[in-house]
Amino acid sequence: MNRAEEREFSMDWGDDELIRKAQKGDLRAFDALVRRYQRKVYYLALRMLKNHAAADDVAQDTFMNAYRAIGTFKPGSNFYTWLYRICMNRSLNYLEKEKHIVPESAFGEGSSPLERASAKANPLDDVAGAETARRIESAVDSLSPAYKAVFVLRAYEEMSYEEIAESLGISTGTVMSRLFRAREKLQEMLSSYDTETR
Amino acid sequence: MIPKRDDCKSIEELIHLSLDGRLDSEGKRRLEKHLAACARCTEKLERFRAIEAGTRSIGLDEPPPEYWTTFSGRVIEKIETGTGRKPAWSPARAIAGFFGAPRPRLRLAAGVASLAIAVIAGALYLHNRGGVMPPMPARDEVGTVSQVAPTAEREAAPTVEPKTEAAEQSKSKPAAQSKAEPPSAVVAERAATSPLEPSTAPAGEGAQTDALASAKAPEEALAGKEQTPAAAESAGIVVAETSRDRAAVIAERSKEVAAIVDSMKRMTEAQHVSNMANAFSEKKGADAAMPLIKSGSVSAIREESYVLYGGTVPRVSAADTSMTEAVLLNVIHQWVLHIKRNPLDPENGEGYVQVANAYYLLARLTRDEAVISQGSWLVQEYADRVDDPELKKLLLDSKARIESFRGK
Repeated sequence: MNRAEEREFSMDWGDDELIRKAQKGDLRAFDALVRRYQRKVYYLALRMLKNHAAADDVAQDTFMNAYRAIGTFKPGSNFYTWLYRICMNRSLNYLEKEKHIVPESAFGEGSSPLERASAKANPLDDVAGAETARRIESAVDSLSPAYKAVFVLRAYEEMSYEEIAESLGISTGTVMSRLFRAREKLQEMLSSYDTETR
Repeated sequence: MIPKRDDCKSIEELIHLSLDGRLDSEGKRRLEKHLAACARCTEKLERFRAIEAGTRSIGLDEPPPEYWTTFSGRVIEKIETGTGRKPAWSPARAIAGFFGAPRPRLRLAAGVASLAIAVIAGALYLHNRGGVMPPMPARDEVGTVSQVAPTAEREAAPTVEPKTEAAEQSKSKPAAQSKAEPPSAVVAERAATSPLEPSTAPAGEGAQTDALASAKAPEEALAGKEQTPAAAESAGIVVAETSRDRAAVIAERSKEVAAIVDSMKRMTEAQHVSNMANAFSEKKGADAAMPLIKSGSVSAIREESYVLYGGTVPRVSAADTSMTEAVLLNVIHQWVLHIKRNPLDPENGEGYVQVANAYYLLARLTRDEAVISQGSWLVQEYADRVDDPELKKLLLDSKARIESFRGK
C-alpha cells in the first residue's frame, strides 16, 4: 500500500465509509476497522474471560466473523454494539465450553475491606483499596455469564441500557432485571465474606 | 419514622436507576425522602456505589505494543487464508470435509488443533505407510495433492485393501498390466520399512539406505527415467499403489483423524491434549510418547533442551541430522501448544525458531506435501507476529527452506 492509499484508509475515515467499502470486499477498509476497535473488543473479551489467550482467540474470532457477516450490517446502525454482540456471543460460548478458564472465587480468605470502605465514595482511597478491588473482581467473575455480561457492559463499558440490550440481543427490561440482580448478588457475596471474617 | 420493609422493596429500583443516572426528578425526590429516613437503604446505596467504584478501578494487564501492531494483520491473514488462497491438502482440510465447514467460533482453536492433528496424522501416516504409501503424490496424474479427490469422493471411496494384499497384487502383476497404468500412477516405496525405523536393507541389493533417498525413488519413476516396476522391484522398491488407492487411504486416515477430533471437541483443552498424546503413544509405541505441556511459561532453558512444564524437548538445530521424525513431531507439538497457550510468553521467539527448524528437518526427511504446507503456513504465521527484523528474516528464510523441498 502506498502513502496515498494509507492516507485513504487512515483512522480519519468514519465507520460508515469504511463499512461501506468493507461490504464491497475491501480488506484495507476492514483492516482500518479492526485497528480502530481491536482494543475495545480485546478488553471486553478479557473482562469476560480473564485469560489473555482466550481473549485473543475470541477477539480474533470476533473480527473474522464480523467480516463474514458485514454484508448484513445495516448502515446507520451502531458498529461497535454490533461488534460487541459478536464478541459477547463468542465470549459466552467460550465460557460455556471452557468453564475451567474462569478463575475460582477468592472468597474465604484475606481481610474485610468492603466494611471499611462502605462509608467511602471510593473504596480505593485507603490501603485496603487494592484488596477490595481484587475481592470485587473475584465476585464479578463468579457471577453467572448472563449476569456478568450485563454487569461488564454497564460497569466497564458504561453502556446505556439500550446499548446493552442491542449488544446482547435482549430487551431493556431484561437488561435492568439482570443488572439489578447482578448488583444484589455482588453485594450478597461481599457481605457474606464480610460476615465470615468478622 | 422508620420506613416499612415494603417501602424499601419499592424503592430498590430507584436505587439502581439512581446508580445508572436514569432517575427523573420525581424519582429523585422519592428516593431522597426515603433515604433520609432509612439507614438500611442508605447503606445499601453506599455499598452499591463502593462496588461500582471498585469495579471501575480494576485494571487489566496491558499486552506488549507488538501485540497491537500485529493484531489486525493476523485477522486479515486469517480472512485471506480462509477465503482466498487454496492451500494444498492437509489433515485440517480433510477434517473440514467430514465435519462440513468449520464453525467460525471454533476456527482459531481448530487451527491449532488441526496442527496437532497434522502432527499425529503425519506420524500415523509415516508409521503405517510402510510398503504402501508413497512419500510423494503422483503429481502428473492428480496435479496437486489437494486435488487427489474431493471430500465427497474421499468419503465415498472404498475401504482400502489391506496393505499386504496391495503389495502382493502389485508384485504378482506382470509388467504389461503395470504398463497400463499411467507412469504417474505408479509409485514406489521401499518395501516393509517404516521411515521411522532405521534402514537395515543392505546397500548391495540396491535398496535405498535412507529416507531421503527413498523419497526420491518415485520421482525418478515419474520423471520417466525408465524406472519400470520390474526394475524398481529388482532395486528393492515395490510398486505399491495407484492414485485411487491413495485417495482411499487418505479417506481412511481422514476418518481416523476425524474420529479423534470428534472426541476432542467434547473435552477440555487439557483433556484433549492428553488424549492426543495417548493416541499417538498407542500407535507409535512408548518411545514416541509425548510429554505434555500443561500451562504457563517455559520454566527453564538448558543448553541442549527446553523444559516446558513437565516435558523436556531437545533443542533443534537446522544442521542436525540425527533427529528422527518422531522426535521432530514431538518438538513441534510441544512448542505449538506452548505458544498457543502462552501467546505473550517472551520465550516464544525461541519457540518460533524451534518450530521452524523442526519443520525444516521434517520436510527434508519426508518430502511430504502436507508437512511442507503446514510448516510453511505456520512459520509464516509466526513471522507475522514478530517485529524483530532479524528474527522475522530468520523465520522467513526457514519458510523458504521448507518450501524448497516442495516437488522434490
